Amino acid sequence: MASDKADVLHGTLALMVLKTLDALGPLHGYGIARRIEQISGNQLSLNQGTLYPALLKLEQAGWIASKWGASQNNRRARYYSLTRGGRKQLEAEAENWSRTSEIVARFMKPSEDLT
Amino acid sequence: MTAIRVLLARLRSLAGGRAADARLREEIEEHLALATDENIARGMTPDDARLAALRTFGGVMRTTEAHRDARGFAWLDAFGQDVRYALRGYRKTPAFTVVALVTLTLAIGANTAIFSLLNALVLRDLPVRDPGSLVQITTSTRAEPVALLSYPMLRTIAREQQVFSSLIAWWGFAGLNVDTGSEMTTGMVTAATGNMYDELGIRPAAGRLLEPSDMTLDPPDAHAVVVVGHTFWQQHFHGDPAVVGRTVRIETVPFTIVGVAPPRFAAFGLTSEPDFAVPLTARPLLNGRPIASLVTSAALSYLVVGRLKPGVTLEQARAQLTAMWPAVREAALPADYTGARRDDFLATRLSVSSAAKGTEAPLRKRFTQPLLVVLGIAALILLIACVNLASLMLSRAAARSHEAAIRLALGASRWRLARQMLTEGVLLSIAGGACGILFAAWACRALTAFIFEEYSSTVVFDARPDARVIAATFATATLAGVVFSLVPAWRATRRAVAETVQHATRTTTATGGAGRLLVATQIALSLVLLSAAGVLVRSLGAVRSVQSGVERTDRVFIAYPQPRANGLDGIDNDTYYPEIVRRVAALPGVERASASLLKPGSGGAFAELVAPLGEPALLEHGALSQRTMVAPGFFDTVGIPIVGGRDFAWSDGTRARRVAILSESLARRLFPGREAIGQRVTVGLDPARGDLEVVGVAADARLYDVKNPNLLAVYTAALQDPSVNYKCLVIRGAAVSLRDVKRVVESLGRENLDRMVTLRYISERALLQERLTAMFSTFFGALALLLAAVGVYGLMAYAVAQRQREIGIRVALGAATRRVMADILRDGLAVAGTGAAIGFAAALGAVQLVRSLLFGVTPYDPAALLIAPLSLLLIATLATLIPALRAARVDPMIALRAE
Repeated sequence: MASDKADVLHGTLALMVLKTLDALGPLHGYGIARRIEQISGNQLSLNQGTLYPALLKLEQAGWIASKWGASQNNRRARYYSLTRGGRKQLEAEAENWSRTSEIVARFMKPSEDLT
Repeated sequence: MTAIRVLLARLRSLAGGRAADARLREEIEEHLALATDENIARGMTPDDARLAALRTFGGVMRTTEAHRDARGFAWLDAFGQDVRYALRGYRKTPAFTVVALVTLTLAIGANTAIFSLLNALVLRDLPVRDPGSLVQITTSTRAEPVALLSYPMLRTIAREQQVFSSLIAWWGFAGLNVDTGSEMTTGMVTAATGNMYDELGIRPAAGRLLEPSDMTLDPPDAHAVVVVGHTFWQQHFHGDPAVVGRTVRIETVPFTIVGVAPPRFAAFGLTSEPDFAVPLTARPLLNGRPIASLVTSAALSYLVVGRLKPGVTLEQARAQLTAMWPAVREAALPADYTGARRDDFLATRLSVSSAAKGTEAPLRKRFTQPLLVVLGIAALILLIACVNLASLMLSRAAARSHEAAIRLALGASRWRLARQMLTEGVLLSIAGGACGILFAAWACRALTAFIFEEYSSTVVFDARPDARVIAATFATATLAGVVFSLVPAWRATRRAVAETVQHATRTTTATGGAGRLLVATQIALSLVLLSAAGVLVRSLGAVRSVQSGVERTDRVFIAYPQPRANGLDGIDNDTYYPEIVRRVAALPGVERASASLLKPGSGGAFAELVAPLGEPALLEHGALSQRTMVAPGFFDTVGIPIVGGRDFAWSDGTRARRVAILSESLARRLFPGREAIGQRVTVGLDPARGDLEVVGVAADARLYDVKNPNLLAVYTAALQDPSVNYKCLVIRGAAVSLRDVKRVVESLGRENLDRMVTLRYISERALLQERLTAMFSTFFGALALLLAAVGVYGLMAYAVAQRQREIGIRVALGAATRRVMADILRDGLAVAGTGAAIGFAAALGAVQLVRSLLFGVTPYDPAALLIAPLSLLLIATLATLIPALRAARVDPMIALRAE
């Protein structure tokens, strides 16, 4: 059960990370976590730690890249940015997502089309 | 694409685990710092801010673990843990580790070495292009079960056959005199058709190899060109490529060097690298004959190998060649063959077989079966080693049962624990396998040197473990590891958790039944091995003690003169040999001297039919006998008594009446109840020996092969045979020096002498396979005894340690130490005795399997079958004695306080 939920979360989390980096440019982990929380109107309580394995997987897939940079308080932080492959992946995923959510939404709406 | 990229990223991360951990730690630290700062900005106290940050983050440990899992391969990490844990464990028990590693190295190494020899000798194809489509044509005659083809046969087959895309003919070896231009030496010379190298896919190391244009088969003709062998090139020409174009003289015939063969090229053989290869049809030149003499030659000298046309099977080739064979034979019949000789020639049969594994069938025949039996024994020792290690591992596991129980209680799965033990076992066995391969490489080199010690050619027999052998070794090692850790893994994880945790320090029979069963099994297997090994060793003793009729002594020497180039031209046998023997006999330390055609002891006498003169059906009724030519004094020198008539004399020369001496058995067979002396016999089909007068009868002697039950032998007078250049000198004396004999032989200017051995050496070499088998048997037997000692000692030492408290109580209550010791001894001997009883029954069956290798003893040799169990029980008693003594010294106070 728990792992099922995590899987769904991981999938959407990856998409959210990609979208965030697309919108805001290079960001460190904390920045990405805060952004996701803000966008979701603080409705999504993210276990911020789960972000890091997700970031690693995206990096392994070559969709994001990371390098050290300075954070707001002038310490070293790891900044993540979207790669060209990541942008392509985002487009594909976004379209996929909207199609899926549309279909799911249609199921959820009691409709005369479904007999 | 993405999947591959992820895999590569993970593989890369395997190396940098620590760096990635550091990076993650820093990222998380910064993450928490940023979150804390923000919380403080919102008005929290620093402590609350930090706590809130941690809470929102979730578990730092969990994140780190998840990160690590995503980074590499989780199972690999767990495996790494197991390996590290196992290594730590092995480091902590060095005695166990060393014993286990040495056991595995010897057991696996012995298997690898023998398999490697078998692989090189029997399993491996020739290292040439497409060996599978090579087919060899041989013949067999009444006297020679495996013979080759004559030139006329080769020529007809080459012209008529339609099954081969090409036909190669090869002529074995001869050690000939070579003048390299800068030195006089000898070299092994071979001859082959010009297409051989190209057809076998062999590339030159320098210059070119023989080519089809170097010779024609029909009519026979050849250019005087030669290819130099790689080793000879290195040793005599210092690997200089400029050697191409130079001239060497082989038996004074000039040949132009055209190139150098690649290293280790042994043509269709496995063992010998030729020093020189000349075109096939140039071969008569080496004997001082014209090339054209090939056309009428009857000598069966050529190995013929064909490459099957695509789509033609071996059976089809055999059918076609068999169909054309009578015509081939008819066309090859020499004009001067008449009567029985003609019939014999026309009875020559054809044999067509695969040439994929080369032509060393006799070598293979000699060693395959002994090697298979020895491999069986080696497999048994590996099994014994596994059982032995299983019981040692069981004790180890029992000592750690507390830890295992706690891990189980904390939620580790049984599989996880079992995997730990399997990892430990396989790690050990793989290490043993790796050491075993090194041991095998050394052993193979030593064995090859031992087996081919007598070869005068460059031996290139390659028994080094190859990829197949190494793969088989690691597969065997892994399997062995699984086998010997399976029992402990199963046992250690089976016990109920609560029980073990509570009573861990008080278990009395921790290894219990399983340990005793394993040691008993080990004893049983060892007994089987020892019995088989014992019978084989006894067999060698029996062969050695055979009354061969020849003294196997260090006081008889055999010297091998090598004729110089043209050295025997114009020789007068009637004066040369008497002179050389007279001079050698006059040397200080020499008692008697003579000469013989063939060296006594090794095989290779002529097999010939002998019948009383006038017997019309020689081919049907002749007695198949061994024939050799000997000079006067031979019998006296090697120690064979003349029981009737006289020895040969120097007066039995080329111009005198042709004479023969028969062995007692042959005399009895040919002339039962009659006096053999003065009778006349026909020996073989050569008209030169058609009418010999029997002048003497010699005692039976197994001169050629001590295992050959055929004692029929005929001796002919050396001077009456023209084949002088094979003769060896036979010398009796306490201390004969090679230098003296060499000086005498070379002073006559016709021959050189560099080699002299004793009769004992020759007899021992003839027993090579028996000695090898016995040597391996002794080695494995000793190893089995040693392992039995280790097994019994391990079991009993552990039992004593476990029962220390009980023994302490008994001693405290007044038990006599002798009683305590007796108990332990009885316990140990009960295990050994049970194993020995079962093993004895199994051994009675197992010794049947070595029957084919036995000589002079039955499989149920009482000595071997008695010594094996007795030595095992003795070893077991000694091994039990040490723990028993330790038990007797248990101090009750210390034992009781230990709880």
